[in-house]
Amino acid sequence: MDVTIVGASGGCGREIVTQIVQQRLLENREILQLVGSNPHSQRPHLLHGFRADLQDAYAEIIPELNVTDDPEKIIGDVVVITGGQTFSTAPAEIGSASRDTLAKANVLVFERFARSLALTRREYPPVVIIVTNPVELGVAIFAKYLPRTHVIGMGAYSDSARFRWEIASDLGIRRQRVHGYMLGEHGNGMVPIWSSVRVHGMTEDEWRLVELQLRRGLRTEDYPAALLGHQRRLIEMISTDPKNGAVAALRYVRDLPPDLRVALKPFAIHYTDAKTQTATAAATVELVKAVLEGRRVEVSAQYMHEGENNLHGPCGGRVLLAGTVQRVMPDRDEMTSTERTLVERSAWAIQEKISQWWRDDQ
Amino acid sequence: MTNEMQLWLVVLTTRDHAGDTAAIASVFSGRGIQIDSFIGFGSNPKASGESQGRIMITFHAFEGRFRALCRVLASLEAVAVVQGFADADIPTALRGKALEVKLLLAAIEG
Repeated sequence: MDVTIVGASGGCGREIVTQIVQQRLLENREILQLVGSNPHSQRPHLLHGFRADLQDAYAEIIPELNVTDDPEKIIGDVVVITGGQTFSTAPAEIGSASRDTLAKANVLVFERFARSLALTRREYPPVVIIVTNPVELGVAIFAKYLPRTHVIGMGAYSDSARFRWEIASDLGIRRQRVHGYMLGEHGNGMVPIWSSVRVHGMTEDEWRLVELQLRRGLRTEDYPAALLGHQRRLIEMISTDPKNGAVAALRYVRDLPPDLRVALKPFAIHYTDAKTQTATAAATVELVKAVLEGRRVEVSAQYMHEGENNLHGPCGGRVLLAGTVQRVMPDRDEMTSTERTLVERSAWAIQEKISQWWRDDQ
Repeated sequence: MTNEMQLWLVVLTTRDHAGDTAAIASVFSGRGIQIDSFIGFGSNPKASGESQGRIMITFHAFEGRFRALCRVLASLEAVAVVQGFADADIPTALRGKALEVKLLLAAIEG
């Protein structure tokens, strides 16, 4: 199987490429294709240099590397879309950072590559993993041109990984012992599904007691408002103190409940200029690995729902993967009505935004 | 586009390095496609004085798979040019000579 990284010269793209090589996801005759996503790049030869550097660094384990900036030459069985713009890390610009601006810039990237894949890969469509934000917009556009079963967005997958880690860190255990999901939007519309949390080695009774302590009184129905309130506080801290504000914000986030940290810690990290590319890349590579192996695994990801669980459009949900998406997992009985309502509300809000960002008939 | 399995020929121009044939063969084996015939020659001089390789491969596949394979072959560092032919378009002389090679090989005792 071959893997294509679109936007391989960006920070996140390069990190994904490096992790794929380091983790030996591909054998030496399989192809890792590096694709530039910006036809007007000021650094058009960067990927050729990056390829040579990778070969120098990992000669013992390097797969076949191919570089192109032509969307029609994409050959990956799995295509990761990580090109396009991201928010500036400059504290001075925090007030003007908006998903609307990102959407306006990245809709062109999504359209360009989705159209091309539809043209060249109609019979053997690749599995496309969207990393670029707004991830829901990417899923909507690619799912228009390719079978929806072949398009998934990273947002809910990485949010769930963070959710599991934040719970694990409060318990002093490793992340792999915690299961649980964040669904809805990869943004302010994310919904913590506390009912899905299971801690390996803990009985349900033990978990119920611990859960109360971890959540610190924040009810699921109050989560959206709390998230917005704390986010406003972070913006204030970072914008009023450009030098130390981001570190202060990180300290502030540390004392919040785990579900709020999922959304707000990456926000604070971004403005330290470290961005969140290592964690995003690690989660992406984990998902690429699962797709390449074709094993049956339940994951949370942005997926183009068509009425499953009463959800419509590209919303973070739970899907069964086995190479491609096999089906949307039905909501578990124990999922609370509040959780269901918030996820449904999030899906509607996403659709509303997408209709402003992108005209489906273009 | 036909939706039937048929014979295809690809003629590859390669850079003529060690490992080129392994890289090319992996494109087929990695997708579970059996190569029907594989004939190749290195050390063909180019006008510039360097040498290049020429490889012809025949295999059976659906047309969509054939096109996908051509794209993958073209992405290999080993491959400079890919030319593909449907069964009906294979040059007659090439088909005849390839058959001759096949018969000559079959006649070698071993």
